[in-house]
Amino acid sequence: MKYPIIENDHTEKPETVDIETIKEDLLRPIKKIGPAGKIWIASLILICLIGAYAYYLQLKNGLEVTSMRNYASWGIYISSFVYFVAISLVGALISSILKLLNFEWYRPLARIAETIAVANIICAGLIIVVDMGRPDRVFNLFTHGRVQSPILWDVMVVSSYLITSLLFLYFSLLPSLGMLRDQLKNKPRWQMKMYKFLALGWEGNEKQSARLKKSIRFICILIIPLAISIHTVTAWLFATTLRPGWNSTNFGPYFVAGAFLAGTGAVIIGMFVFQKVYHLQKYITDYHFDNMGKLLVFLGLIYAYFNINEYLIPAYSSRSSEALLLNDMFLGTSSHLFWFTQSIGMILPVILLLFRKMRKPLPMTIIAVFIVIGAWLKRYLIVIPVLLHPYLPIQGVPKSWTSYFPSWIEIAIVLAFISASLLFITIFSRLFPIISIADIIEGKEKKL
Amino acid sequence: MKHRLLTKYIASRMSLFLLAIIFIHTVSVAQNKEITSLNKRKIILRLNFYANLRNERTATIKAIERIKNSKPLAAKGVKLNIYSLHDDTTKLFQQVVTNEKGEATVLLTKKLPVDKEGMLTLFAKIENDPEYAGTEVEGSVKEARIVLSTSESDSTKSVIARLSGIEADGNPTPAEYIDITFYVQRLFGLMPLGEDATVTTDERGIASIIFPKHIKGDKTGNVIIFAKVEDDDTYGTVEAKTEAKFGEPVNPQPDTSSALWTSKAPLWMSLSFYLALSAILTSLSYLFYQLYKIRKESSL
Repeated sequence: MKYPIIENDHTEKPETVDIETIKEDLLRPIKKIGPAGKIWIASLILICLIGAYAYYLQLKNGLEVTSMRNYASWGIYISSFVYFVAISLVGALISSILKLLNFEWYRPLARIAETIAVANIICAGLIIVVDMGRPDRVFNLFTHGRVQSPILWDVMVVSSYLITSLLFLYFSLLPSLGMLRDQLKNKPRWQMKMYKFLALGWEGNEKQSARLKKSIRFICILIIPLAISIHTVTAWLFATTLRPGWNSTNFGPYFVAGAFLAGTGAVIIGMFVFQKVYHLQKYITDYHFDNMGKLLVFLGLIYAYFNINEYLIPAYSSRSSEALLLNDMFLGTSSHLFWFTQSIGMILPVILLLFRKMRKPLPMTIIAVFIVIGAWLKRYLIVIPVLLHPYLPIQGVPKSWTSYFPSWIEIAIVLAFISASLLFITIFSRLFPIISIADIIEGKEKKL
Repeated sequence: MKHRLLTKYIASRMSLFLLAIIFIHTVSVAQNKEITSLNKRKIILRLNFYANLRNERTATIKAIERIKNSKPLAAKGVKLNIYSLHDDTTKLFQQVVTNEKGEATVLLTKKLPVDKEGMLTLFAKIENDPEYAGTEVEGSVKEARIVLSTSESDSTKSVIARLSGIEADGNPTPAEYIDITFYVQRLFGLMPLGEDATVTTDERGIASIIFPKHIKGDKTGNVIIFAKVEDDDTYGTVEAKTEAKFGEPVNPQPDTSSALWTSKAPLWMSLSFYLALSAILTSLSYLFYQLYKIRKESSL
């Protein structure tokens, strides 16, 4: 049977491809890793090892090796935690919201989004432990957690979202696992055993297919409130604190809107890389980039709306404590970062993506890179300048306490986490198809 | 003819008189100008006596600088010598410097001499500054105490103040015909107890007032009542306070304590948390069960 391969706006006549070609195209990256791929993986492992050594030094000497002090008691670990949580939300957006809204073009992007989500939520959960002076006490959160503390709520939603995201990824992977088990040849024994074990005896019979469909639909519904909760509760960690710049009722939706924008940016980068490196041009087309560009404009406008609320109202009322912080953001030491995130990381992408030419793969990926960099810097700005502007002025303390710039240990650990998330995505895409074969075939059949 | 001469005489005298007036006025204006130019800046001193609730007595000297055609200003940094006066002899008691408000306060100790009527006389003088040398102020005060009590009979609530002056021998005697004003403490200051809050003491030194109805108290109806003799010529300012459950009980603010700061989570929060947790765990269990069933439904 032949299937149309290019999703488009129906003005062009689609090319067709048979099911065997689809399988061949999507299983190709699993069959062979080229030298560039090996160098890429080795580089990521090396960065991870440097980060591991830095963490060993931190464990050995304590948090003193970081630049965190009495005032800036949260640094780039917490900024990165918020960033990883934000990126992870995209799994719910692409795979669940678009699916439930009956958009068909999401199909080749769903697994990319889910993989990015799982990689980032794992990093979010782990980097929090790195921020702890006594990581051996992490289980006290579960055994001695206080119900009224947003930290316990965060522990609950992060772990729930991680398990749900893993299940989401796993359920949608089952047909592919069955295919890998049956069709892959010349692979190491451990890999084949892994496919066999994970496939859960998948045959694709009627009962199994019905159960899988029902389960995926159930997760699609479950994951939306969980995804919104995870980032809302992360926002509440800040908003429930009586600090200028944090104690805002706008923070929950503001974080969620920012997360969708950042996550979509990350998926666009993923789409571009997988399209080029794995030669998936037949499946990830300009049409998908164009749609993602439009989605990015929509999300960017929503995020801009929340930014206006977040900054204009406190700036207008200018309570003295807020005014000091905002003055630092708008005109002071943080202003270059602030205006970068607002302009290059949000406003300019929205304007540029209004033009069709900018929604082509390369320009849009460059724009997405700036959005993702802006997203990380925005989390930095949410965390650090606020801590350096407490209600009581900073007086009579060592000069090093009055500012914050991460130490090399902090930078190495954060880079290691970013590399770890990329490594997870890379290894995953080398072991499993990064586009769901079953999903693509189902989508094509629906069209026919 | 005689009449004309008389008229001429009167006119000449009147002219001389007018000239004299003009001359005198001119000289006087010139002299006045000289005086004001000499005294363009001057310092005025004021002396007040105050006995606080702990019966600590102080004298406060306020220095005000007056510059012609300008608003009076607090004179900061003025050096003052404080003298006590007893039996026509003066004795330097203390040297003080006025603060930013132009005030300097000295504590009046028991050792300071009083006259046979129990009056303490102080004067403050500027002596080190030639520009204001000789500027001084004098004042006398007699030690006094207010004993404040409350009583309640039927529905009438009374506040009674007993004012005594302390004689030279240290014994108290009733202070009669002195005005005492009654106040109740509010959030931002003292409120007089009605329109007739000032009552004159009788020959026993007693002044009393009926506590008005509908004055708000704290959540148990407690109010803080003050009685004050204010800037009296003999006793200066003296005050006393007492507490009584004379007010209407009012809870001034709803309970705004945050659930986050309590040692135990409120019930609604615990219920919400555990319900959400149960819903998540049930959902995840359901999904794991589905995986189990998928495995079971395989013939492989």
